Amino acid sequence: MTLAKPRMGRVIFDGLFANNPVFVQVLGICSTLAVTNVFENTLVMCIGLVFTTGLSNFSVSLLRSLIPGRIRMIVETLVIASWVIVFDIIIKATLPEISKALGAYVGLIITNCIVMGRAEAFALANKPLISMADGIANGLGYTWVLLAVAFVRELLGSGSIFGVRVLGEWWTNWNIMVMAPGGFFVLAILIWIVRGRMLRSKEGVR
Amino acid sequence: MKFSSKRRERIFTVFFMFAISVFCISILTGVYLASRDRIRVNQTLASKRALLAAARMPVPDDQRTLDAIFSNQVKAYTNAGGRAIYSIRQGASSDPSSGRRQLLGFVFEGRGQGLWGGIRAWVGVRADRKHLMSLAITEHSETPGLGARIDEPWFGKQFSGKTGPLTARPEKTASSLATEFDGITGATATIDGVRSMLNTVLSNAPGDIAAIARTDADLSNAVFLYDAHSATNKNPGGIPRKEEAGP
Repeated sequence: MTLAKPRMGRVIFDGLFANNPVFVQVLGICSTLAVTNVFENTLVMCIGLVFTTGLSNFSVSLLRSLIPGRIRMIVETLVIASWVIVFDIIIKATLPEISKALGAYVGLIITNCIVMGRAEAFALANKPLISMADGIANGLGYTWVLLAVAFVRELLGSGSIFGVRVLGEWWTNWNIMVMAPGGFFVLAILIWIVRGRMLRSKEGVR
Repeated sequence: MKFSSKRRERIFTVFFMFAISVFCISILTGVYLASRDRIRVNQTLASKRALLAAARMPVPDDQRTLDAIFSNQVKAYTNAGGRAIYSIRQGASSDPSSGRRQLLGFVFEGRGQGLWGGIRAWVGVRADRKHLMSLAITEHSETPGLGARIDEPWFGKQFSGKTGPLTARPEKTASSLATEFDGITGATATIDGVRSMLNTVLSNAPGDIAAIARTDADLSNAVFLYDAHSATNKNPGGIPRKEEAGP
């Protein structure tokens, strides 16, 4: 983020595509592998992440002139953790079933590198509103990639989408897709397709 | 007292960290207090539903039906160790002459030790005090995707008709032996915890039920009637044959 004054449209496009946190920055891989075997859990986890990146970027940016440099990461972690726990309490109160299914995953958003990465790389240097937009854009960039991975994994691994069986009885479930290696395979193939084909021209310019 | 600028910066750092921690904690406390009652209600409902699942009863969606089942068919007791035990009866009597409602079984509060922490569950035991009805895990902190799979419905349901002392077999064995159940690949420690929890419940069940029956004439009557009934009937527990089919 060397631009003096990033424009809103650019920031959103970067987060979603050009500087996508999963494809380009290769961040947040642990959760990409862990939650994407079931589409529904992935969706809720992603909503949590968008909520957290948006609000933590906003809060860190508000505090950016006050935060002493040497403790900035502690402060960021504190802010991120607070927002994640707020989200956790909200879904516990309103969506108890999904909260139970997600269990530890929600807490793991705290350690998601994308949240801390955006706070460090963007929010510390920019105004609150555009920081929030950057957080949300990156969260959504992460979301569409995870949903794509989850779609493939649940379809091949369980023959279903959103828990609804879409492939007939003739389909033999690929158990490996439900387990962690399935996440590696699908993500690697997706990164290969996207970086190798779609982002090649950009890499060349760099 | 005069501070050098370096010292002042350090003091500000400590003060800032303290202030922001207090601020974040206050917000969290506020959110927590505001939703505490709602979360508690949700937890109670979830626990009641799990209890019915452990007894292989149909689980209603609406709260009113759930409360009706609990006030009509479910009765709470505690054993000597302070663990909860529930007796479950039929909803309506199948015997119009006496009007007595048959005992379906008992649900025990089970506690075990998993890999990362405690496991709590409802363990359904048939009225014969020997065979399991089902198992519903209510609390655990196991690894998602591995040990955490103990709360998947198939895992609990496979225990129907099983009896102690239980031994775990590899996943998808689907053993026809009443003392064997399917474990979960990659979750040996968790399965060990569940197995010993179930074995403890099963070995204590006859003693626990005898103890609570001594304090409740109604229950001891029901247990007595069940025993007399099953001595002349090949269908123990009064559970329909269809449900008894093993996994």
